[in-house]
Amino acid sequence: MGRKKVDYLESFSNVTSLKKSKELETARARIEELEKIRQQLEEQLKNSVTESFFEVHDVSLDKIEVNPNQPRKSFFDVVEMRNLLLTQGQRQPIILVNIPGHDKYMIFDGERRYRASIMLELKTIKAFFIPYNPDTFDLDVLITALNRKEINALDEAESLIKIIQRSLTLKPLEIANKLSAFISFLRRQKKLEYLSGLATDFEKREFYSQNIGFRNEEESRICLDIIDLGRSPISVSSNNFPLLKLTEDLKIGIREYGLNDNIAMSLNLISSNSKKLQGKISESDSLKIRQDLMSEIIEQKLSIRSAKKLINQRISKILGVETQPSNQTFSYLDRINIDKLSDQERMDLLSKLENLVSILKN
Amino acid sequence: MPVITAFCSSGTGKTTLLTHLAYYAATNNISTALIELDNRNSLKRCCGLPNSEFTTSNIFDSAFKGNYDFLPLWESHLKGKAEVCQTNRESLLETEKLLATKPLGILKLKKVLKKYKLPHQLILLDAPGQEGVMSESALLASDYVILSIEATPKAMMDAVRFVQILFNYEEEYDVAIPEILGIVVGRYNHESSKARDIMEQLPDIAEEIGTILFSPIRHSNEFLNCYDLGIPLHLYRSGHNAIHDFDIDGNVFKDMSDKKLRSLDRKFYGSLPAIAKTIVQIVKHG
Ligand SMILES: Nc1ncnc2c1ncn2[C@@H]1O[C@H](COP(=O)(O)OP(=O)(O)O)[C@@H](O)[C@H]1O
Ligand SMILES: [Mg+2]
Repeated sequence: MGRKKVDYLESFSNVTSLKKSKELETARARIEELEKIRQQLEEQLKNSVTESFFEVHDVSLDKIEVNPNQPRKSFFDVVEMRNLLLTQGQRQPIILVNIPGHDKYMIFDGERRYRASIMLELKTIKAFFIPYNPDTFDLDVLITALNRKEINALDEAESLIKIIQRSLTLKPLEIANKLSAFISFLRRQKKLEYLSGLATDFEKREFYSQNIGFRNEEESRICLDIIDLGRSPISVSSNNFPLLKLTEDLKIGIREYGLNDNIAMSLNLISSNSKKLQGKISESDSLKIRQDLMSEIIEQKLSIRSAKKLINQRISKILGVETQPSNQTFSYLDRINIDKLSDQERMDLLSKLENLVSILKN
Repeated sequence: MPVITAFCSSGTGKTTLLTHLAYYAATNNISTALIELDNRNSLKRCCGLPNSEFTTSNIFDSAFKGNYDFLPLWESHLKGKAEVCQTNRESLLETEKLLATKPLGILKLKKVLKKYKLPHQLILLDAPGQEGVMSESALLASDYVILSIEATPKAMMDAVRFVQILFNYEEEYDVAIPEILGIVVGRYNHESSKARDIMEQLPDIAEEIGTILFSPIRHSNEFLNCYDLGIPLHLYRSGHNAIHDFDIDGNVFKDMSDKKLRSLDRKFYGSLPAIAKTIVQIVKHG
């Protein structure tokens, strides 16, 4: 019949998009504001200024509750913190909020110090209070956690996902796949520099975002969220998001036992779902093998290289092939024509080599 | 006591909607005030009101000290549970002129309603359909606004314009704007393919502007008839099905055959919330 329908939704979207972009701006401003507060705090602690506008309190440990939505899930290093507390005392106050209707103060930042204090059977802990804002609390906690260096790459990946999911209703793996598809697209278009430019060159941000060629709202949302949190989409896509695909036991390994990400990714190959081993091994068998290898690697504190070797041997054994003694000559390194590489390719190469060097040093 | 207004172009059925909401709320034991801000004074006709001394202009008067003097609405049935304040064309035109010359004139109503609190549990503001000081006053004085539209291209484009104005307020002037309670289609005629096309798009539009879609109020000549008699449909034809457009969720769509529903999704459209029921819940349970 071909009756022509008028699309009213589009007219409404034109109106609301304006509002949405404003909201984003406020969110970004909020992030900057928080970053400033954090810097101020650090500054104050460094100079140990006495008349700080944040007053430090001694708060009884049994008046404190942990945040159930705390993004950092691994506390295997609480023991180290305990030792630090023992030798140095508590140098940095933790940060608490007073949520109306709760009879305890909730930890905004400092759960590890809190746990260590409990271990030491202390009675009180030093703490700052910051105002509680129900609208931004969860996001603020995520951002603070992301800004800590000790957060592991897996928790970092999950925090980033949570923040992205505030504006997109996508599953974690869908987000990861979209980002990696976009990066391959840029690579094919020889535009990867645009993405690093967007992440690093604030002045020319407008230019890059206009010309990079986002193919849809989702791609731009994912990249910009990651960049706004001070991360590089390229590195997140290659270092953080792949960890989302790890089996649960390996995630536990990273969180509870400090298993190295690289090793975890290798161990993840031993699975009934992996390309190599599909149909050759059951999931329960592969779980057992992974766990045996994991305890061996952790107990013997194997280097990444030795661990990977061990894992590869095990895979070959499952496949029923003997490992050939490696006979690589690396002659292909000579074949790389450095003059012909783009800036981005040089950067990539450099970071790969640095990686190799650090593995070799281990 | 939430303040609620309805918005969009003239003739979409705002006044009909609000008078029927007032009736429904009052019969649900909620004391309700209906304040008219439209100089056309249509309440006089559709509520069957006598002339009154006290009119809306008095509220805006600088001598006003909270001495509201409203008329009872359909008193023999509602027993004073609902009251109405009508306009007088000439005096309201004067008021509008005066407000327009004051820089923050459109905030006056908000201020007065805050300073001299009405005792009612629900306050409905019946504003005119076109842009102007009175519709803006109503908007800024309200906690909620019902986007009261008709499923016609003109009304849809007016609705776009309205949403733009609303968002603009927030952005340009940083004043608090009412929450859009939801979209109600008035005078809905399911036989019209144009109306159905629009009905089909409304869930997405509602989501886009951050609100929900209510079950529509059907087009029925009985609404025209009772409007002229000055009574609500409930009193004119107590058994009429359209009454349930106010109190039964998804009423218009509920028992339609699949053939008649056409491409509308039964599960979704058959359970759209009823506007009046929702408002009663808001008043009673917050
Ligand atoms: N659902 C309806 N079915 C039929 N006629 C209606 C309906 N709603 C309103 N009307 C009629 O449309 C006209 C305008 O309605 P009104 O409620 O005054 O709209 P507004 O206040 O938006 O200008 C009136 O004559 C009214 O009787
Ligand atoms: Mg009207």
